[in-house]
Amino acid sequence: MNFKSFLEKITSTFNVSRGTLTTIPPIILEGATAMKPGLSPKMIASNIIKRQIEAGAPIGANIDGSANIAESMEVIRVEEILKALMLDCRVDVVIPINAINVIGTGASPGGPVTVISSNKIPIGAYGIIR
Amino acid sequence: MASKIGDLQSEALGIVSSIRTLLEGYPKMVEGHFNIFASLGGSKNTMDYLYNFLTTIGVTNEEIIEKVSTFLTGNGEQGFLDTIEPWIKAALLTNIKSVMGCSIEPIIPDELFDKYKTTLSEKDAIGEGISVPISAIDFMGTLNMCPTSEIGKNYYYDAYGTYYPSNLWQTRDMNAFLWYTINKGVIGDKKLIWDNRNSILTDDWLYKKSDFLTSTGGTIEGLGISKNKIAQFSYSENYGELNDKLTVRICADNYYRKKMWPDLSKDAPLIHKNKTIFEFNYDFIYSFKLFDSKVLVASIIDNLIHGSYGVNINLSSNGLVVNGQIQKIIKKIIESEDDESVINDCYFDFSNEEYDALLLETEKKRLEFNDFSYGNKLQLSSSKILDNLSGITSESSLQEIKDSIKTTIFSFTEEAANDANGNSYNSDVKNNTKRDVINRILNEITTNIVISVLSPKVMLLMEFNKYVFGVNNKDNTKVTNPGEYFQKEIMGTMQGLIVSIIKKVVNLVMTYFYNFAIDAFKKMAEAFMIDLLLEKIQLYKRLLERLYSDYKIWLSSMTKKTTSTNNIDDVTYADIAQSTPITTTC
Repeated sequence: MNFKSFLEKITSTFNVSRGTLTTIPPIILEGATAMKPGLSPKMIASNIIKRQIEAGAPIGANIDGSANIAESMEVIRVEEILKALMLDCRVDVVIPINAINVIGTGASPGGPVTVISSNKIPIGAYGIIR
Repeated sequence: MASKIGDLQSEALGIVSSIRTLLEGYPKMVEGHFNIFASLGGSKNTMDYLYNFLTTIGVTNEEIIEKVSTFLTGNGEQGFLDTIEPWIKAALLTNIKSVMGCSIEPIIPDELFDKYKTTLSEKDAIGEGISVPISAIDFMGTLNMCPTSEIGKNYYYDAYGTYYPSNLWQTRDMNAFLWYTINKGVIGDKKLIWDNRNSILTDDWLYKKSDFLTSTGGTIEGLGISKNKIAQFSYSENYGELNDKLTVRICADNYYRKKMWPDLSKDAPLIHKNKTIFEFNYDFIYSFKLFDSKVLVASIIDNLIHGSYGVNINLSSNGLVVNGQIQKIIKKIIESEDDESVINDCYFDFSNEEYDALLLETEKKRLEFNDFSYGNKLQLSSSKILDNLSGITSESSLQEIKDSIKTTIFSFTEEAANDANGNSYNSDVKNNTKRDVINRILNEITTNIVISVLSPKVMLLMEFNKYVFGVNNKDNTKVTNPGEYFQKEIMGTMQGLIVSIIKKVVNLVMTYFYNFAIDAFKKMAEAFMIDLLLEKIQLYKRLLERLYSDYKIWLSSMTKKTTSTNNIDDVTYADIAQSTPITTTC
């Protein structure tokens, strides 16, 4: 074993298969997404600052009474990241083949007609993050 | 080293650092001020990197010392050093065969034997053998030390206990035997026989069957049987000359083939074939031990602290130059393997400027104190540290040997972490010093194993092979500078062989420590994979709970919407009263 293969062995750790995500039942998703409150930079920054102490970072004003710049920076950082995500980000959605199923009824000279169809190609759609 | 390797180095260290952070919550500062990423910016030394890697994944100095001690001890599960010995011996034999040349029939010529016949009627002739100055085979100055002296006892592996200078002809350590030949064999022009050390060493008149005791205390049967004899040694002092001569002849008893006389009535030319040099090589190389735990540890420590002495006691300046050359070759080999580049012949050459720089560097190093403690000049006593090895004897168990090595290395780290008055520095300096010492020990292991291979006994074998294959040195009758001799003559004539051996050593040593690092990392990686799985399950559970909760609210709002009394109801025909209004009575 040489140095390169040793390094490759270590770096391959992150590339191992982690399995796929479990699908969320669409019926729950449909209802739950309608109730989402949306992203709040202030809430996120607040949660981070609250947990700073877990990493040993000081919270509140500095010992000399001056403002804690790290906390202000945290707010700015989260605001900017979310601003970019909410204003600039585009979510591309794909509707897989056969995901949309349609049943239609009608009439014809020969009698009632039932039509069953589904999408035969993947369908793209857009979305945004809020 | 290619930049790709540099990227991989950063990535690997970044991965282990982040995994450790994720597993342990938040990054833990390494004790002291040592920068764990130091090897990323400046040094590209593989061992430095490996050490940083190990400490980053949380392997302690004690665990590293334990592993190093295991490496340097015995064989099998309890050690590693003896395991690599057959590998190196096999590599030596194979490479001599391939490097020296396959086209020539390597029959040992008559003039190398201690006796041979030129004609049927004549008496036995004595071959010239090979004659070499000691300085041409002893680059490190090992043979300057008496094997039984206080300093020398750590540099020979079979020279303690019942040995004293005058009976060292019995030793199983060929270097000690050479010391005896040089220092005691000269008296009375002795001719000393080196035979298979699994059997017995004897000389022409000192031989006593019962003198040589085995490690188990019994005598060895069959002492002096001719089939065990390998080579005959003699030493001559040439007063007025710069170098004395060690003359070695191959024992005819085993390698000189009996002559076949086609016609006994005539003094016809001889028809015979002696044994090949390869057969001799095999017997020679298996007649001694290449590596010994105690000798190796002593060499490593001595190389690291030799600068503490202003006098040349253990390692000559020339030895330091050879050491420096070998270190550079090792570095080039490791880096070239990583680059997967083709190694050309001139790759390991040293220019005159490089050689001079190396000489200056080693001389400076030797004259100055070693700086282990970040600016604090130390005066370490290697004898005090190496005293810990004195417990190792031929009767020691592998565990005892390992314990002695561990104690020695611990003692070294402790001694280095004290100031000149023996007072301990503050914890930061102490920790940094210990890290530094262990890191340097790791770096010295490969170099010292290679130096053990290039010891006088192996260099003697090379001399025989060079003679048989017609690889001629320049005049080696006067070797005034072994460092230069090694660079120009040894590397010049046997570069391919030496580089092959060094590559083998590097591969074995590095693989051992890579595997150690991977095993240590595996535990961390497994914990991380379990953590990832748990994280995934927990996140899914939390998401599902949250979504279900939102879904229920949504569902409830939808239900309320359909049952509210305030809603406008649909009016259908069925809601209209079925009675007809009365209009005729108005």
